Amino acid sequence: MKVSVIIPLYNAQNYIAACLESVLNQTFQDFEVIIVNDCSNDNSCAVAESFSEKFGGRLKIISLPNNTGNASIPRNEGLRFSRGDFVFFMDNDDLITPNALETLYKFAENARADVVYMERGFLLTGKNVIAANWDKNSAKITNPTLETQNISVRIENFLKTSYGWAPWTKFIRRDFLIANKIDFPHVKISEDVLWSFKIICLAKNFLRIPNQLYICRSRTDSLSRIKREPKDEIKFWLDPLVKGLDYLNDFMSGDFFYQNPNFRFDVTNFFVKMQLAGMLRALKNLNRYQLYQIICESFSDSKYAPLIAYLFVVMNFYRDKFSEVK
Amino acid sequence: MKISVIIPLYNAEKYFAVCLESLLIQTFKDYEVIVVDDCSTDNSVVIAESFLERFGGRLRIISLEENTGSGAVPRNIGLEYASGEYVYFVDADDLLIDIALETLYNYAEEYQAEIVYMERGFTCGAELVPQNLTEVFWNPPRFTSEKPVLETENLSERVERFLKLAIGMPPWEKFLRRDFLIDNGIKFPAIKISEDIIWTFKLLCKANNFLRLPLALYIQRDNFSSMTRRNRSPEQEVLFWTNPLLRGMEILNDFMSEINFFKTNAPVKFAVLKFFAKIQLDFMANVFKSLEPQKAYEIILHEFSRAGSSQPALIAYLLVMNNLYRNELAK
Repeated sequence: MKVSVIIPLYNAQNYIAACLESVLNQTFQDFEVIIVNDCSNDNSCAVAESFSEKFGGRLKIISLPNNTGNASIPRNEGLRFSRGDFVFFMDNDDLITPNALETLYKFAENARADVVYMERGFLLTGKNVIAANWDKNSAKITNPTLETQNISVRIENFLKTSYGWAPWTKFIRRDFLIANKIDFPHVKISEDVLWSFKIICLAKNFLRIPNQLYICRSRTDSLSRIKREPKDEIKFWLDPLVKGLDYLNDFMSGDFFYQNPNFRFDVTNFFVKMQLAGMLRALKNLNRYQLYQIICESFSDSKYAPLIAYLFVVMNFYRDKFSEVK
Repeated sequence: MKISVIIPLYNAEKYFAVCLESLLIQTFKDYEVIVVDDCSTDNSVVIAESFLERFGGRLRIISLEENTGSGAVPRNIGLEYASGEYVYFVDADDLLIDIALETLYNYAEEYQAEIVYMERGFTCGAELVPQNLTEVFWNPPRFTSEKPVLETENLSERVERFLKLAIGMPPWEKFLRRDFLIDNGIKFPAIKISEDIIWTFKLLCKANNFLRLPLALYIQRDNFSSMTRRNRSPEQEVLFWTNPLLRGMEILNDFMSEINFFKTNAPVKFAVLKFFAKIQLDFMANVFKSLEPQKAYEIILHEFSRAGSSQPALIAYLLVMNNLYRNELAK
């Protein structure tokens, strides 16, 4: 069939019904819905199952044996099971407008796009729906526009955050993901940033559209906003920082980066700063020894734990001084 | 016999004869000299050989097959061949005053010292004449003594003093019991620079009787061709410093992990690692001034990946950022 809608499910009993209703009400009906349940311990799965009949065989529910902690593995599993020409990763608490899939599919086919990227959409806060841009420095187009094929320009745009990185901003040709082995990395947070970076570098036809088709529910309990002890906060952000760097480093070893090595540092720097921003408050609440200990523990199986810990502590110290000076 | 004098040799034809002469005139005679040649390309070995007869069997020359790049491996090999009760590592450019070995031996025996550390020495310009000799302290004067004195046995205090540079690092400042070195497995780590810092730290942690001697017995020539000063391109410079940094921290970390004191005093362990890292990073800072961060990152990333280090990207990034901030703050 034409489209696979992939939805990672975790404890969304209050929202999944509305989400699935919005898919059921599509003007375009040639789709399958793959729900990957990450061991929800509320009523989510039951609610999803109650939609089976209405979808008439187009709804598949996969249950993972153990909770994986975030949406990466559920999405990867969903992709593995999908059979549509295109995939669309949706979040379990969001909705799409009735013409979403039809619009996305038409644009994708006409432009022979690997990716159709929605730079705008709606935010649902409480009962209010407001228009929103998904990236800070979007192109603010009025017509569908093919992004430049120049990778250098794309990366520079990426570094200026002119692409939103949420998975649901993109409608993607399945073959493109499979052929390029584009998976969500299994990190605690920022997996979408890394995933988006690969897509932006590898997609040939990347179509940017202004249509508002996705409704994102604003929530206060997202992963990045949960309150943690400083020690746990540091460890939380260190996970994507370290794994993310290795992921990026592996990716940035092809021909393009061989010829344009400067981007390796720039992209690395961009990503690290993002994770550091997440840890900022925790960093202020720890002294140097505590920070050192935490980092050593986090790298306990590496010979270079003391070196990494030391460099990290010193860098943090300099960064503080530097921002004071500025 | 009583003393093994071990001399790593590399292209020292200018001054080596004087070094060997100073050994021949020692008042103390019960010693052997082990010269370990690190593939010198000048006349050093010829000069050494010309002394064989005059040493009457006490001089031995070992030639390594491949150049190892620093004094570490030659010294370790010399130690393997040594059979004296005491060992003394001397540099081929330098020399001893005539009563050096006798003085060191007597004090070592009197205090049952595993290590006799000479707080003072002489430096000398290119020409060996009295007016060129200057007596110096090898560590800050506030740490020196007027009489021979044993260093505190308290490890915590010893480490604290070490971190304040109360003890110098060069091997030739120390006269050592051979079985102390062997029993504790204390060798020079095979890194190109700063191996003496780690070696000295190990000595300090393991020795019971560590005697400070306020006598100048060794003459060090001003070293124009030191390892730290050779001309290298920025890339070579980065490579030169990053390997000792990585390996050195690893070695120190492993060493301290076996000692109870450090297991229960994590902040002190941190201070030692920081001390070592800071020295390497200070040396590296100049290099980074002439390289763009992107370029420096490339070089380090490549080197670390090649050397099979884990987290090469993270280490490379942290190194580059540290230097970037240091340089920016210095402005």
